[in-house]
Amino acid sequence: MSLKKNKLIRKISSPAIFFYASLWLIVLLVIGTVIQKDIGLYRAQETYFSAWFISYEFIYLPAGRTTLTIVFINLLFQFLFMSAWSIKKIGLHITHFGAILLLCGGFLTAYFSSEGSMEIKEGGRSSTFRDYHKLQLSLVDESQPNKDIVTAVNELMLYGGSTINNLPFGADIKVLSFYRNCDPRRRKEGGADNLKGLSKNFSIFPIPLDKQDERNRAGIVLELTGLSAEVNGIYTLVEEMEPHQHFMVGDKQWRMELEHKYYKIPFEIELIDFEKKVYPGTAKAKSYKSDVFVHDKGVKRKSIVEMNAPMRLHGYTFFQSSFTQSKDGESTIFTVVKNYGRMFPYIASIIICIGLMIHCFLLLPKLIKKGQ
Amino acid sequence: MSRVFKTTYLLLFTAFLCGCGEPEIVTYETEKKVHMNSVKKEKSDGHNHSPYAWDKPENWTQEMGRSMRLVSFGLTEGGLDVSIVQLGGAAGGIKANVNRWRGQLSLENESEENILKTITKQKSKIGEFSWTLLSNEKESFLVSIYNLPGATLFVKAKGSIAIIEQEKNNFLSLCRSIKANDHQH
Repeated sequence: MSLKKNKLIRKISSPAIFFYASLWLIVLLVIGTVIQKDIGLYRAQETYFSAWFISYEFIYLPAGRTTLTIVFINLLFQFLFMSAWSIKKIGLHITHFGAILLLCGGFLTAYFSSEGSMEIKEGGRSSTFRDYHKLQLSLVDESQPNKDIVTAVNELMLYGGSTINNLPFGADIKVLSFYRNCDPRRRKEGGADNLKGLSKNFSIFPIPLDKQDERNRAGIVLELTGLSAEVNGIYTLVEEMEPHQHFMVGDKQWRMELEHKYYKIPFEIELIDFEKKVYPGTAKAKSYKSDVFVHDKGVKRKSIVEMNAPMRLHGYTFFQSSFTQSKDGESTIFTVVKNYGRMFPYIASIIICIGLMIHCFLLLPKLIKKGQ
Repeated sequence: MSRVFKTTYLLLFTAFLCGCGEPEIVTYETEKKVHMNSVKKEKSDGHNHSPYAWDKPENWTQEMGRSMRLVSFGLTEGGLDVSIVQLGGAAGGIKANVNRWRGQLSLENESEENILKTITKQKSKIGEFSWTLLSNEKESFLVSIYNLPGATLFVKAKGSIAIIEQEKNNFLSLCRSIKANDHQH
């Protein structure tokens, strides 16, 4: 039996699926755009476009990711099994291929891209950057004199009732509660005996999410078990808020903190000098420039990162975004982006253009004839 | 190939897409971080090792570092509690913090628009700060917020309505005097 006649393939590659999925995407786009006024840009993107499903009470509707996956499968099946492979249709095939490539790029960006900021003091080095939105629970071995060894637990594992095992110091963590935005309040009365650190004096309460995500301050209450009686207990951590919780396991001191997710890059950047130029007679910045050394596999080379001239290396792009000044000197702030799908939109757009041009070119004689 | 197999393949492909994501636990090495509380622990000698310096009003007492505070101030005769606290990032922003303080005074939450109407802006040596006065029938809070690069600084005074009114000018002159600490070690 020919694949074209297979009922399942015919159903999957039906143009009706593409039609209705596109209509649904328009609906999502309108809702997502309108609602960002109330819930903020980041939350709107996460809820309507990056999620698989949108839930309203007990009703689950497909969000952007599900809809685009359906469109991708539909287009792929249409392209592979239902296309009429003739020279007359070559323009359409190239266009469809371009659209599939565009969706592949979207998939790579959605799953494998990361974006954040890197701050380096003049004379300092860094090989990590900090995510703008995602969080991690960091368990830091502070026993080394010149470095910290961080075991980072992804935010996706931090929800009320989850258990985190196989930690490097042999303990287990049970998450009692996790709030994406919380209010730490001083306890009016003493709590249970096993409260440790900040938990002794503070408890956290969930509050509604702010529409500006950077204003939200996450908090977690967790129970540490499997260690000595002195260490076992309930700890409270609030995002980027000191004091962090310290405890001893054997002769090693560990630190626990809830912070923005850090990404390790496979090379190191050293800031030699940061230069800020201002418009004459004003404090308004005209340009920022960072002279850096890149330490890559034992090789040291000089590079410059400046406004509108990013540095690209091993798939990472470093944009000059800001700076800070303190009594210790200046620090540069780079926006760091890693996106495996970065080139896909460019390549896909060119392919789609070529496909449409060929299709128009092939149709031209017919149109001219019709016109006459 | 039966329909069952085809459907299974399709479901597996979808499951593959859904299953892709970031690893749950990773380990990496990084430069040592210096934390404010570790500095406090090492140097609890009563001197100011915080990143900021200030001009203390003459009639106030000062106590360096306690819990999350960089410094606490009070009156010798009591009745006033002033603290300077620094938190990372935007620390919730003006609306969330003002409503948190309103909650502590058993006042209803206010909209951002109404809160901003009560905010006054002044300049200090580390940048502009926003201050406001919150009161219920017994107590008052005078609070200032500094949005600094990567951090937010809070100065909060708590006391009776009369004491806060009496110390308002001292509070604001303290807020205006806050600067980077050149003698921090």
